[in-house]
Amino acid sequence: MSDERRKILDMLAQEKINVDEAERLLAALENLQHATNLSPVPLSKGKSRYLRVTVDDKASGQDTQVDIRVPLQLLRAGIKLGSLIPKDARQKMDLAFDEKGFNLDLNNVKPENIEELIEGLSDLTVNVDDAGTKVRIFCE
Amino acid sequence: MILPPAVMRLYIAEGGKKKISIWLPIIIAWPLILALLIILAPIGIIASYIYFRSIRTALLLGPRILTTICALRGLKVNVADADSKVRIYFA
Repeated sequence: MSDERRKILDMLAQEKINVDEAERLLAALENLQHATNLSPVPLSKGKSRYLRVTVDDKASGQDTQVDIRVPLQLLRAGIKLGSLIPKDARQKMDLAFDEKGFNLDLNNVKPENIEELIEGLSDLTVNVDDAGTKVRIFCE
Repeated sequence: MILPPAVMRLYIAEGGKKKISIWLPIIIAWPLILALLIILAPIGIIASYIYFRSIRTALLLGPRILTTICALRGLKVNVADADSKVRIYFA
């Protein structure tokens, strides 16, 4: 039995909290432990191989689940391939991004910055848990 | 060195029924594809130069496309909702 569970049960035994409160605390503890178990331990900084995106959406009533694993090598290759896009096509892409409110200038993304970008991504962890919708983004 | 993906798995189901289920051992096709690429490389380079008007682009386009295809190894996409499922996997 973990220390946290023991503390909650001790508080219940000492009538510091009632049964409903103990149940809520235990449920929250289980969710936290579950989320901690799911969080991967990175091999080491810069050794991540995949970008993982998981979405579990129960809020819309459709119970949608998305699990995408993208090799970081694909990001490297895609950025290098993108550097070959002709200038006029790249300008059109930048305009299209601007219209969508996405301020990304592809001219500034150079292959020599890829490793820095990937290293930054390796430290990225996003956890969103909102009313039946869970979104996780991390590198593994 | 990254090897190209050996197997591609595509699965699409809708309304509980399997629509598409493909398991492709693309590793078998790679030697043939490589031979075709070597044969067609000069034509591809010339066509790329005519279209892009850049020697650098013409020479780098083919290898970078190949690198991108090789980097697909490990890509996994799973999307499922109440009515449909889509799974794409390159191994």
